[in-house]
Amino acid sequence: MTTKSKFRGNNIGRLGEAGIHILVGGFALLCIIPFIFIIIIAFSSAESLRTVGYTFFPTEWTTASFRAAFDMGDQLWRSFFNSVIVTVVGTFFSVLITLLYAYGLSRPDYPLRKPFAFFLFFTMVFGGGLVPTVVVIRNVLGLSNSLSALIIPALIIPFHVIIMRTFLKGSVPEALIESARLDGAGEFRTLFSIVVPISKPGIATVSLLTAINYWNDWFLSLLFIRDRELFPLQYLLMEMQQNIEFLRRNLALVGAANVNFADLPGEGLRMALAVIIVIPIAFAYPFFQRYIISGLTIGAVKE
Amino acid sequence: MKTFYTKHRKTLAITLMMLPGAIWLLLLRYLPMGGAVIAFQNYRPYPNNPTFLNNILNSDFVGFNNFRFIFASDRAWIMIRNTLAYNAVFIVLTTVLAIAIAIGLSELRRKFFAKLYQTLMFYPFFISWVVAGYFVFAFLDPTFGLLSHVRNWYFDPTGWPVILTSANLWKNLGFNAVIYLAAITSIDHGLYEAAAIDGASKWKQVWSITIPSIKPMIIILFILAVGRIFNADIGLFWNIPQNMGPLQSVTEVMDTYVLRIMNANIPGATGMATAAGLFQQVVGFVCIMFANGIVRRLDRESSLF
Amino acid sequence: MKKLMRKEKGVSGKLLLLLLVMMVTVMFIVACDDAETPTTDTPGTTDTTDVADTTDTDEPTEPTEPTEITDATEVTIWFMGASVEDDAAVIEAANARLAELGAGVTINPIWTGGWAMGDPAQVALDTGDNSIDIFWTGSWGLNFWTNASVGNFIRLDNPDNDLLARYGQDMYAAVPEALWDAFTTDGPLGFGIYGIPGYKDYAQMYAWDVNNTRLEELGFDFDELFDENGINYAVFFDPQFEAAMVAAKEMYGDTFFPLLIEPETFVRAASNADLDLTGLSAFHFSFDPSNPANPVDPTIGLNLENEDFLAVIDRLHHFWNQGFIDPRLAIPGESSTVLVETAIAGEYLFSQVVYAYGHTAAASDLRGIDARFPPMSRPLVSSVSAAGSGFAISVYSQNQEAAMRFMNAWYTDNQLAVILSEGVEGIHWNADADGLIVLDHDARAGYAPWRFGMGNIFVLTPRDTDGVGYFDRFQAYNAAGTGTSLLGFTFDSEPVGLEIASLQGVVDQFHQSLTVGAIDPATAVEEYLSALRANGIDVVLAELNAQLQAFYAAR
Repeated sequence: MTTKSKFRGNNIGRLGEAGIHILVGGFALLCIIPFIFIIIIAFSSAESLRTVGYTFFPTEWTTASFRAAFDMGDQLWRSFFNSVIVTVVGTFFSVLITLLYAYGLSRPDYPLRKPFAFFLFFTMVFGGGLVPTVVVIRNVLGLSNSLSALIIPALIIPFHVIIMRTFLKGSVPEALIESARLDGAGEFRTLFSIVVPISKPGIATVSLLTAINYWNDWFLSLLFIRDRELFPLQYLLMEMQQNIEFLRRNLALVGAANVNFADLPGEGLRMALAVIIVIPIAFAYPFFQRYIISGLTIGAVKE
Repeated sequence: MKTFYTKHRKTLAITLMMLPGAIWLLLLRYLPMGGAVIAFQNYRPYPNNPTFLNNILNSDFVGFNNFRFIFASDRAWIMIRNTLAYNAVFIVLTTVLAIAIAIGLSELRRKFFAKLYQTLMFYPFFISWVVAGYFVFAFLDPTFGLLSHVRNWYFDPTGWPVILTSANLWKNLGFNAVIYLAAITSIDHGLYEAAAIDGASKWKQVWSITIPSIKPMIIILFILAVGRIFNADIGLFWNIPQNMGPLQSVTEVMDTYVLRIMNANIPGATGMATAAGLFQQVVGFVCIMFANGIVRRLDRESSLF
Repeated sequence: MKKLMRKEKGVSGKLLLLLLVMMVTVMFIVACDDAETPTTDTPGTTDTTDVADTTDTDEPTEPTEPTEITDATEVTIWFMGASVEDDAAVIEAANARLAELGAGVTINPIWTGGWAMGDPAQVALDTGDNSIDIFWTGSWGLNFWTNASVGNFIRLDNPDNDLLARYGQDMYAAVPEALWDAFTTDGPLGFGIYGIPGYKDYAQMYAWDVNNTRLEELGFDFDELFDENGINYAVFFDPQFEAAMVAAKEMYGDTFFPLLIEPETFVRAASNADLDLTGLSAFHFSFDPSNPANPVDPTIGLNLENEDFLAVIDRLHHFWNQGFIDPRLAIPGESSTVLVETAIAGEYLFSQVVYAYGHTAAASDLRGIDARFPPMSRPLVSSVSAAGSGFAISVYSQNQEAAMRFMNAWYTDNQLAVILSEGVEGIHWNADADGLIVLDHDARAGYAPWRFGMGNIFVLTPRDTDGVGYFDRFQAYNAAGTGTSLLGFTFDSEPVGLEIASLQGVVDQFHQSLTVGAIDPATAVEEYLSALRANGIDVVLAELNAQLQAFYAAR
């Protein structure tokens, strides 16, 4: 990385750099403000919300929302654990399959490249729709009410394959693969010992996208998960939202008698859960990011 | 056989690599395609032995009947206009701004700041629209919101195209910028050195080295976005305006329109939803072929296929 | 040379594609056929079964004798409401009781509800999930009539295999005829019973929900404004009603909103109509005030053309302009949260509810205020109120007979019903001296199903908070309800599905804003009406009336 910036040629002027700081930095700040806002709301007291409304400077701070969230006890941790398992396992296999498929597509000397590209691309545009897809996943593949039903249906995202292919095309010089072949390396060895190490930025980017996709998904849970024990975090949040609707209907249409109001998820609890959901991936991000902009040493090889 | 093997060893090895993906695509994407036939059916369970296949075999074909609801409403054109216009604006702004940001980041001398900005910028992408909806409401809440005194947001459609566009940019710009940045970081560094020695200005370097080098990425992202020109992000268009009636003229898009009808409890919604999906796919396909054709004419190598 | 190669690749690609298409088609047919033809279980409806299994063996012989059944079949039932976190002890006890009863079933419940972005239960039905046998259905979950008419639910009195007569006679006797009528509708197997009614407070009465603590604080006398035993509809137009809210606004400040509007309730009361039959909330039905069973005018009209309705929304807008109504109530995505949180915090002066028997004391207790529920309308029984909650057996169920056996046992056995609704004795509750149930609230926090959504509540034992004889008093309340002339009428929306689809957008655009007073009726009503007309409301209205006339003629 450092060697790279040294040879950046003639740099932009001080003024230009200041401009970039103002514009790009300003936007970066805008991006993070709502996140800080959520955290502040999660820590403001209900009383403060009622009197001064949403504000960056609540009149009273409290950890009540988080205590309420952790009072959910086992369920919260189980869901957290489910989310982690699905994200880690899913990301690993997803990236592996994506890399293998994208590698073939990126090789100009692979004769079946175009048909396979079309095979992939076609699914980006056409699909069977929700009902047939669910029928196949549940009845043909037999995936239902298990964590694998949250992992397998999202293994390949064609968009990620295409990004990966583009990265491989751009960062892996033909000559490198050619020289590996001359050294007698097989295709698999070429891929894993030559291509993968120099494609870290691409792989990290795709891993991050895949991980976010798994972490934030609730729709597959809606389709396939029935046991609360298997709920991931996002689905727990959705269910909480639903509980409000349920209570309202009870108040309005069928009488609130016999509803357990202690379960009422207040605004604060929702925000607290939102924070709990965002934090793990927010912390994981810098780890991926190290690779994304880490230095590349391909300049020497490229013709 | 032996000669065939040695001759095609490389091809076979790579094909083997493609297999897991290909099998997945076949099972989870191609297999269900047959079921899309219910878009043309009055799909009903077959009472005697209701398996999916039996249901299909015993349901009546109704031609394009299920597609009629897309255009049935007198406000269908508003929905179509919104879908296309928002997507066009999103594509153009996202592409231009994301590239600008990526280039800006790559030019910063202090890599600490580049890294910091990039990290911050990516955060909105983690946040689901449900959660994003919470804090947009925290700003716009008519009573307690941070911006409640500015205007009555939920009854005044005029501000919403800007709100929705900003929300979309806020969430996706950082992500797109990171993708372009990753593409920029992998540009051969020697090119810049050579250009610098030739005395090319920074602008000139951007135009003649950076942009051409990331052109494949730009084109691919562009073509893919164009393919989704008739799909709208349901999370954005449902969770941010919160299904507020008076805002419909500027917030109704294809996906919210379909969701509304799914919630309307009419028999045959399954066929209608499948039909709507198929319609979006066909429009997307036509647009992709069109965009790809143009790209292919301009620059054969960059086209998607 | 290069060109030639490319051409070759193109040809091979096309061949590959063709091959794929053929493969996919064949695989699709084979896969779907194979996977869904059950090998271990046979659907109850198939008549040509050569494999002997548990569901089969008990089919031909007298099924009314439960001792014949040896192996228990697991039945999966999807309940409504997600306030159950730990059901292990309950299910164990329930299964033990089912074994004692010799019902030959064990039960496996699912607890979760539907939401705006897609109801998981509806998706399960639409995608033919055969792992679920019984679904809860009701006014805000799976729509009973739509699913029955499509054929997602089985007909229980199907002459071929009269499940209801064979397995459900006790259950049938336990539930009033009027409720079964609401679950009798047209389906693919003819006109018959497609669901099992939940037996609860089936008479529906709209009531005011008055925060008397605040009303007294403001110096107003409850009895001067309301008559606890009369019908307090007109109070909405009473100057004193407005004066109380003006005073409240002065005393409690700008962010206090005295009128907590529940449009679902209030506007229904205002137009005195059953609106849920189309789901459009656009219609008005007139009842004879002295005898609701006789239609004044046996046709249905538009509520936007009804003077009572217009007077209410005019008044509402007047109150909105004075800041009596929380603006967040106009936002569909927020209104539920606001309603629930505000009501529970007692931060209101006047609100509305659908009266539920015995709710007043619970509400006061919960909110820490003196809540009063003076009636706004008389208790009426209609198809909508009768079908407020019920159960139906999925057409995809492989255990339809076992499902019926479970339902029959559950609807008639006190012990089983108590276990499933209240929990296990000694864990979730204990009996007091009168034999009433005293809940252990801590233990029950993890198991709190919605009692009124759990089948037949009248086989339960009352709670200590209900008092001795609770269910007798409850029955008396139900009996006081009058059946409207709409009772038993169900609407088949199939012929006007396209109109309803395009009208839904119009309704979503105007309805909520108009019914919380947020938009000015002077301009909005005209606009709303013309948009409804442009999208075919008249066609729906004509169809509704034609079906209603046919219903009257058949009666």
